[in-house]
Amino acid sequence: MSAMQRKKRTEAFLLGNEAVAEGALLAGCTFFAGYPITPSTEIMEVMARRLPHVENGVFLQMEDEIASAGAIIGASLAGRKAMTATSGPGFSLMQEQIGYACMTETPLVIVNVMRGGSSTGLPTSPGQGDVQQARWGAHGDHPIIVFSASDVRECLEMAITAFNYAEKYRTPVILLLDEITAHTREKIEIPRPGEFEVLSRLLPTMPPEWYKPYEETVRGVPPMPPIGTGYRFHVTGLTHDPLGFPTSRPDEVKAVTERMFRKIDRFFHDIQIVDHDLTEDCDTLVIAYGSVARSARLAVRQAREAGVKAGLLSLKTLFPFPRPQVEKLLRTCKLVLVPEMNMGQISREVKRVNSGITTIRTLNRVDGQIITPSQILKEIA
Amino acid sequence: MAEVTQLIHQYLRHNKKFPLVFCPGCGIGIVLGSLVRSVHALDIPKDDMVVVAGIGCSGRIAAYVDFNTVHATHGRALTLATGIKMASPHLRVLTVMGDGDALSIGGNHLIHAARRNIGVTALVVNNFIYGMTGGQCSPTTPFGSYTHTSPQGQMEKSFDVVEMARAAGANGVYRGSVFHAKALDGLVQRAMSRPGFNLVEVMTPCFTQYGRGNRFRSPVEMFQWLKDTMTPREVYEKLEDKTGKLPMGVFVEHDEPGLEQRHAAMRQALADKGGAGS
Amino acid sequence: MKEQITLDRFEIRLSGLGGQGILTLGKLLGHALALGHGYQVTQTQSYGPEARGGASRADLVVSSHPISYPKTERLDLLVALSQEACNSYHHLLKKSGVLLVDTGLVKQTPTNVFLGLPFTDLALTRVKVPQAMNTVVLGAVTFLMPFAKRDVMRKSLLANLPEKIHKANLKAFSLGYDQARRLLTQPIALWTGEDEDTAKRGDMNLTDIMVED
Repeated sequence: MSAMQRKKRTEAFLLGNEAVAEGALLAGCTFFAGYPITPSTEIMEVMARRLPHVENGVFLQMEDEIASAGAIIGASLAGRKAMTATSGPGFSLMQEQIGYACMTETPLVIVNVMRGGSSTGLPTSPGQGDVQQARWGAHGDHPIIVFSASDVRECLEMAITAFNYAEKYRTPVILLLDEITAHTREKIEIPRPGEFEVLSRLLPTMPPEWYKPYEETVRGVPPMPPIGTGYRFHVTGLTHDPLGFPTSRPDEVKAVTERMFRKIDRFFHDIQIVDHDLTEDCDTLVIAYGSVARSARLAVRQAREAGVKAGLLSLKTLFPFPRPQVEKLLRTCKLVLVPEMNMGQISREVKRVNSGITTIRTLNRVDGQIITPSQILKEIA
Repeated sequence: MAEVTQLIHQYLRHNKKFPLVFCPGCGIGIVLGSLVRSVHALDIPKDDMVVVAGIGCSGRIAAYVDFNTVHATHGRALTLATGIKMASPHLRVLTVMGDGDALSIGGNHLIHAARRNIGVTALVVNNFIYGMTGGQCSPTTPFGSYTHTSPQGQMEKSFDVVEMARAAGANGVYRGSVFHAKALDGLVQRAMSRPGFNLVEVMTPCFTQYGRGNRFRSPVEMFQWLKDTMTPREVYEKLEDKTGKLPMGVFVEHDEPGLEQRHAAMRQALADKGGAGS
Repeated sequence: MKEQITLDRFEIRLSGLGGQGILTLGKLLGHALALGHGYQVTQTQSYGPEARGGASRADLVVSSHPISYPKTERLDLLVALSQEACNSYHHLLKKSGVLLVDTGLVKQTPTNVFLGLPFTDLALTRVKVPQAMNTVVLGAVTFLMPFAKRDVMRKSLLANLPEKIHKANLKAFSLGYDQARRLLTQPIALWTGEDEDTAKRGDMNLTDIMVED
């Protein structure tokens, strides 16, 4: 249905999950492997319907989330833009593979539609409890990019952005949604190809015999040829030298680990995406992300009507944490409120950046319900 | 010998620091040799050949061969191989896994790779033990055998890989041993030249971690054991007393199309209906 | 002919049991209001693990302006297709809000101020397709909401359903619309009132139009 509308008109009435799938397809995703889990399943269902119609499109339902992550890593190594979608429990299962993708610098997009609670928790209710897991879930030191989206339009946009950044930085990108964003239907305009940027990974220009898969480059991101194109190299989760072979030589280990961080660190300004809403003159700031940012938007408007100089900083990039943007506002605000549907995960980051500059207040809700505008308003007005 | 040298130069990586990590008396080098000879015999271009290995001693094979090589996470080689094969069906994808890798942590993936009949060749290098981690019992450790984690003798029964792969629906199921290297070459080549999921169980000795603790006095004795135990299937079936014998050879051969072939046919059917891009 | 009315957060809750087609109804209604009528719409849903029989609800916020908070807070229209739903949610209605129930399924309304039609019974006896109950509701709701246009709604309905069930659903839609027109009052006065407090519940005299078809 949505597919046919897309051809006739650029407007569609879509679920957040459906918009993620549309965004992925627009970004050039041709490979999806997944395992059903509420509340992410619609992403998988759209991909199952659509991908067979895409040139060389592959959709696979795997035996579990570990296998799903493995299959998209394989597909990405073979040159595909690949994605999977899951929720908290499945996301936990994927962590080893995500770590492997970080180590092997394999571009991937992993969507985690967060449900409430820990463990099986509240499968059909929202939560934001996987924020720190998205950053630190995989073992060992590793850089990673984590995005979020608050409405259906952002779901589509951030899906495209997630693919672009995965390819640009050769890294897994996590797109964190919550159940509300994923299961809200809204009217959005589907952009036409050409109206947005689509990036693909850098390919080597040198002959195969000169190619070193993990060599230092100016951006810190080495070119990556698809398997089977003449550049035969070794991919391993073991710490490796520039040729990709296992090494435990301290100088080589240090070099590859530091480059992996540097390739992300150096481009913080490019990766850290935030939305400012009435922050130019605000002295009371709300920092929010996901569906809570929508409640906050209304609350900030209502606070303004009540005479409070409120503003909203909504985070689209959660990690690398947008420190410069947050820090600047901390200096000018007397009160900062961080509402989240968890016991305080992004507020930890805000407090870390704050280090005594201003007052940080948290608003945590963990009963499987969205934080309402009136709850936020009560805290700031 | 000149031929062997030639194969070494053609198929092994010059930029990899040899020697191999394998212990003296290990059979994995013979598996590596069999793999190289099979690729050569089948005339597969090195650029088309993908080896996906798991974690463990056998997983190290990937680093030495001059193909497209992926050293995956423990137990997950088949999941990456599935992704690679589905993404680029023209590639020849082979996985090398150990017994702990393929049957314990990766058991579920093995069952499902066989069930979905993905066009991948799986070598399961079975040495009855977790060798790289220092000799712990695996799902194929024979009942009663001694390992570091079964100091009173293994209390659990072991898997029969062949029967499991057969039941899961693999297109081809084979068993060979590193003592019978020529026969092994034949089985590997056969497995690699057929559609769908084909599995070769390769029996190989691990003297360092298994043999020493289980009354084998030298690697040679372990090879002798393989020689005495492994029996061609045709002969085995006629034996009246099968104790102490293990059949090898061809167990299953179906000609079902591989998953990637089914997908290609499905996409073609959609395109013929004019459904492409809808 | 209805005019294009400017709305500022008109909130609707469709509630009942899993299997009644509530989520589909929400999607159809949202689709029509967003794409057909050109409003901003957010449609959210809440459901239990049961595919059939558990509590189910779909919420819509309709507005002429961009919608920040996507969920409902105070309802302008509550459609309750089960006794439990009616009990649970009627207190969320604004004073000027309208309660619409399935009179066959909701035997006790918590207030006398409500509108009702026997939707399930209508679908069963008049359309002869019990699954089309939600479309009968859509028809009735289309009549009731002053900003909803019948032809646009009809068109959207067809666009969203497979062709083989078009006939039954068109019948159900018309039935719902006509029944509502015949038997219910369109509460325009309430919904277009500037100040909701001026529309007192006592002003509504809807009890006499509560009908058994």
